[in-house]
Amino acid sequence: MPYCVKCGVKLEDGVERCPLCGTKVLIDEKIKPEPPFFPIEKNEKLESGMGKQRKAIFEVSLLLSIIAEAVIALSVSSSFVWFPLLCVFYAEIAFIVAFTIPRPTYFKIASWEAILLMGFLVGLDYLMNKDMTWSYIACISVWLYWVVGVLPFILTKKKIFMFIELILGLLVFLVLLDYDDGLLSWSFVVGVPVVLCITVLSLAFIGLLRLPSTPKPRMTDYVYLIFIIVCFSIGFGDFASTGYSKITWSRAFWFVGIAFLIYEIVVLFAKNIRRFFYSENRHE
Amino acid sequence: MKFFDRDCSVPEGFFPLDNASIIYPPTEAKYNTQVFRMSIDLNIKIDRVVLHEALMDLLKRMPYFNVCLREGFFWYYLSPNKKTPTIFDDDIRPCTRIRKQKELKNFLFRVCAGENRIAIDFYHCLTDGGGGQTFLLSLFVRYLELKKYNINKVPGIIRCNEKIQPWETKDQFQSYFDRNLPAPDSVKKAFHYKGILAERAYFTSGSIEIENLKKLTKHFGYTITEFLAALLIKVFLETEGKEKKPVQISIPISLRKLTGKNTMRNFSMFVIVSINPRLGKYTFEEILSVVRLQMMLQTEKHEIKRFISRNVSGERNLIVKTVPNFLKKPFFKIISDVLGETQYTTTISNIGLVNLPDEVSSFIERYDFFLTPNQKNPVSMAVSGINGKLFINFSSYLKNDTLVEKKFFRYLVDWGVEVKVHSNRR
Repeated sequence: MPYCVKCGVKLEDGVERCPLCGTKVLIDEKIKPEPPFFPIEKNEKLESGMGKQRKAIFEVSLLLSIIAEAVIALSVSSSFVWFPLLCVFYAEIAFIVAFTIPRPTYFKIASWEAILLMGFLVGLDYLMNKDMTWSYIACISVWLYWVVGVLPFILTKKKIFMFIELILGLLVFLVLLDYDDGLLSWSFVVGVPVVLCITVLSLAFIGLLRLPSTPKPRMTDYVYLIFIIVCFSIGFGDFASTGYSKITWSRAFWFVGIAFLIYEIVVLFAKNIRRFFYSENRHE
Repeated sequence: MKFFDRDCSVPEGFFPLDNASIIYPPTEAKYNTQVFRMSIDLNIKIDRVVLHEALMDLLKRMPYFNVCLREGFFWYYLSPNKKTPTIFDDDIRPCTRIRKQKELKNFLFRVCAGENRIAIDFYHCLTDGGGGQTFLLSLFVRYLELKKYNINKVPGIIRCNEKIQPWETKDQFQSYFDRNLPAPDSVKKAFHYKGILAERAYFTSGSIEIENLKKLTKHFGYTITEFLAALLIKVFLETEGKEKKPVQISIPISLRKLTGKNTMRNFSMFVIVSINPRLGKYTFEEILSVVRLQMMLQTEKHEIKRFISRNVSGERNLIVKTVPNFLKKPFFKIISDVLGETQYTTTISNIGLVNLPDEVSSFIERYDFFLTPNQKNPVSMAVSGINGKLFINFSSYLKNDTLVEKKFFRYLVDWGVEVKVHSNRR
């Protein structure tokens, strides 16, 4: 009769590990193993379907949508009654999709919801205008949400891919937004340079903060650096839009950006000055 | 008026659910299978053909088990099932889902036969542990009779040659309803043990000699149920981190002995024993005394009446009666969460020691009882005993976490009780 040396409990003959703590059991091969108390399951059935709480939310939402559809159908007499009916129907479908996806993850649910929302917006636009008008911009906005708010979550292991994906996504978004009227007017002239300016500055500041001589950055450091990026990118946008000839209205942004950059670099590297702003050096 | 006659002894097309089981069908879901298993391991080989014959005889005698569950416009109800039940192999995991399983032919129980084992999974709508035990033992006695063994009087079972009695199908909860009683005091939210849930349930069974355990419980001066409940509370208090929520254990109590009324349907309630870790550290002796006091207070007859009246008043409420079933379903789920699962940390159900005459018990080696846990409370424990042995069966939805079972059995071993462990965690 085998025992678990850690738990001190008797075990079935023939078991390889203690079911309580996983400790290996020394098996005496002379002893014939007894048939297991719990027989080996054939065609093991897993519990399928929804849990109770999810089922409750699902049923309540279904009931509410049926009631809402009935109330709308009975109370609205205009010819546009299909509009609220369709909206409630879409909301219900979105809910059902969210609650019935097998092994749901944020990525799965958000992706399906984004596709569904795009389909709904295009359908609504087509029903109203017999053409794609406003839904184009709405759809690419939804796509931007997917690129910025969903896709990065599956690229968390390789941060560099996440960064490249975000920048590329933003660039493509700007180009698609510009292509709304069938022409590429401002995106390549202003949009792309501004995004590149943001990218270069962000990378430069990340490098700056990672230098071994840089003190541990505080929240205010991050806020100032983002503020500097915003100032320079607006200035750069103006610079690009006026044909790379001269700066017009954005001069103030350039000056403010430069002033904050000097301040931030001084505060970061001059210990004697930094200690006036941050408590950690004050008592040295 | 047969349709609404609660005392009808034989189901004729429509058979209302008892008060306790009204909540079960709408709340049945993944991780809420509401199935319990009772099984006996024998020292003789099982003849499947004879077992099937015995089952058919018993279902003729107990037509209230030969039913299927249907959904009416206002309520779920039971209806006679004209199909023939199948006997399954014993390679099915205990307590797998029973509702909407094609191979079960709408029956609310599943009989499994192994080489030496008869196991029955019951859907809780049909009966509770007490009724299930009677059904299983009656089936076994009928099997022995068909195998030409001479069996005399066996207390607590139903023989196939006896006439059906009105008490067998009676919903005994109804007779304890008093409209004027106030509702029971509200219970605080309990601590819930958290972990990664598996897609299936795991079972860990520990068998011990009752004599060994009795020595230990005598040393402390308490009963086995009180002792095991206190030990389980101690284990959960140790696993609780900074949360400091009360550890509350739900202990189902059969009302048959307490009230002297018998039925083959659900007739049990649960008491909730609570220890609040915010009040400081409890010694094991202190936990034991709290368990005893709280159990005594809650099984007092006025308290039982109050508890039953609250449950029955819900069923008799005019709005609940007249609202269609599809509207009621989601609210039943929410109610069962608020008044059920959030209130307790785990369940410990002690079916007790089965006393059978030697001519029957001499065939039985093991008598097991398995519960299913649920999503909020992923570990539960069931206790049963026969022939001087006690079987403590843990069921768990946790994937690789056996901390509760491990601590529980290690305490017993530390106190000198020999435990033999079986598990389907391989």
